[in-house]
Amino acid sequence: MALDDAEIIERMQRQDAAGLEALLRQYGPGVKAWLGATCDCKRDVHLLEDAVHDAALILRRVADRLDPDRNLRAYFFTVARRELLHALEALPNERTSADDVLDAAVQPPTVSVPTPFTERLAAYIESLSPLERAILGADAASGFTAPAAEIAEYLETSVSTVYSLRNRTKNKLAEFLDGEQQSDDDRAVGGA
Amino acid sequence: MTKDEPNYDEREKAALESLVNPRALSESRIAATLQRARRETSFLRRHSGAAKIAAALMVLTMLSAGFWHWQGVNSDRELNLAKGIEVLIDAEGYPFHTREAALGRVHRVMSKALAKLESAGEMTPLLRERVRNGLARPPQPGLYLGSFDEIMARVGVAPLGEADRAELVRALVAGADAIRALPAVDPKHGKVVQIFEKRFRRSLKAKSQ
Repeated sequence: MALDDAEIIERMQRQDAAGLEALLRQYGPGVKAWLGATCDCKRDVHLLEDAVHDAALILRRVADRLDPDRNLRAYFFTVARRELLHALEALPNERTSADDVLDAAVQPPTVSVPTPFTERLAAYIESLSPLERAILGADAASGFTAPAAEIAEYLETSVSTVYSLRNRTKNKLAEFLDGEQQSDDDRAVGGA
Repeated sequence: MTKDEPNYDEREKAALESLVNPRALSESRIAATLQRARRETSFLRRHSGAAKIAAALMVLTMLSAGFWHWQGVNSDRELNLAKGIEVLIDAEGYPFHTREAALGRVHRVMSKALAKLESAGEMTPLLRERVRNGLARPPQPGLYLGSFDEIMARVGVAPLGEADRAELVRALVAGADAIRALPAVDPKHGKVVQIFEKRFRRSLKAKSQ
């Protein structure tokens, strides 16, 4: 049975393992997926899941300070992203053959099987600035429900920056999708 | 939706969601993380007692420092060389930590005296030699009741006389003797005394070469 944010926080405050487990099971997959989509983890895909678990433990440690009225998923994502960036910074630059063996053993990727459309969409996301990607990831991981003020606080930036970058990202996405629609129409006309 | 929530439309949301494929986290990793959480909780519970003891010790240390200051022997003005030597040689009259503090203070007073004499050009080879000779014999600890502080106050202001130099030798040797004799009454100070004595001898030797 799914718990709501307030129940998850309340259980974590009581050191009840069910709170941490619910956080991981309910929100972990989405956070991991959006981390994968907005951060470059090609050098070590294992770090994605590590970051999710580390972030969950951090949230549990600070459970007393968590506000149930805030968006828990957005906070989970930003903490996991921070842990992931730290881990990526600490990675050695050169890959070894052991990395390839480990990558082969990892779970199937959280990014969908690429199609021409998703490849172009991934390229569009990659073209965004790191902060734009972080805001997009927090928005998406929270199910598009996180207020700008919370995202700004978690990412240590201003609310106006979040508004501004969100609008820019959204406009770029709309342009991209319009272009995709136009191409589809052209192909349909050409096919006819 | 509140005013400042992101206003992606359904087409945009669907496009973004098509990109990712949320999959359940690995069961073994979830079990491992829950185990880590349990270990953290039990560690914190086990060590909460230790944290309380550490806090109590810190409070006691602060209180004893305050008491030490209140005794009137922990300021540069109040703890002169003579008082420091008295604390060092009166093994029964002062607690361990009081003697430990006096040990550091006496060593510092003597080191500063050597440096001040050196910079004022009053550290003659003869004076240095006489202090070294004093250190060459076994320690003979005793109270010091001379005018060391008064003479040191005049260093650099007016030239010292032969009587002043003789008094300085007596004071420095008395301080060194009190320090060197301390491990005999309180062996726990042995290591620190070794270090201080070595430093004092080195500062005497280095300037002579």
